[in-house]
Amino acid sequence: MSYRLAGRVLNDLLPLGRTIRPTDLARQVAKVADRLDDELPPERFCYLDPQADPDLPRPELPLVVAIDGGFIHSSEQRSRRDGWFQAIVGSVTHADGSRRRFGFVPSIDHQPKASSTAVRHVHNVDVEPRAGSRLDRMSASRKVITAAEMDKMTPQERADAVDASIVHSWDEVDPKFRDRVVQRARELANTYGDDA
Amino acid sequence: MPERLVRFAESFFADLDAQLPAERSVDGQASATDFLLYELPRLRDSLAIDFEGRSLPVPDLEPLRVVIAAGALVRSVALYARLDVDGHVVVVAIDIERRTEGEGDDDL
Repeated sequence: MSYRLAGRVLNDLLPLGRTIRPTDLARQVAKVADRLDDELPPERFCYLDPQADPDLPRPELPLVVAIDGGFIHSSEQRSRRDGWFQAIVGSVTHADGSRRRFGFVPSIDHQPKASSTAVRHVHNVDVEPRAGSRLDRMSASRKVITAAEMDKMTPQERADAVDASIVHSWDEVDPKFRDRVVQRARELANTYGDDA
Repeated sequence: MPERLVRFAESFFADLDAQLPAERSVDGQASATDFLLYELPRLRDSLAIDFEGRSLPVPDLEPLRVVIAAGALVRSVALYARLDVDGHVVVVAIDIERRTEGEGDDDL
């Protein structure tokens, strides 16, 4: 919807006592956009870490992605280099027919990845690693290696597999297993006293 | 960093035998021998190389520390260890959470 049409709709619907001009709307939208940009967290190089979470959820297929772009020139443009920007827009249509649209301006947007992540968050389509403990995530995403597979591994491959599995913080431990471990540790401390 | 000597107490082996079968099962469940042969050496190495870095302190129960891993052969494993007066690591117990039925069956 254009600013001009949006202004007309608002003038018809809202008892404002004054006329809303398209430029008022454009200015207000720009103000909100600036505020949202200021609230963005610092841009990260990469938002996905396949090693940390190799089992990212797969979207339900089919997934139709349409993307297009264009150069938009100012009506008061005096030369080809003056007053233009590039816009990229697209849509993602899911199997159930729901559609999400996106768009950005690469020449102006200084944090395109942070901005895109914020939009995904608003639409509840985050691809951040799933919540849960490392053990939980690893157990869920990782296939337990069978003894037969271990037979076929080199010593280095075995060492790497075990190394990768060691956790470095209690926060990474599944709460159920953590409770079991702490309880067992208490029993050991009682049994062995200072020698435990 | 110099490596520490790592010893396994008798109680550790009693725990291990109680939690894993003596023989590898037909559905691929690891035996105690599999664990000793494949998984434990690297855990032992980790303790020897960096005991404090690779293990977690148990609140209020120092000097007992725990190494927790999402095991390779088993779902998860916890090794309970402490330092003796000579600075050697003594592993006194183990807790193993075995994989559930069906996990890894497609590999057989």
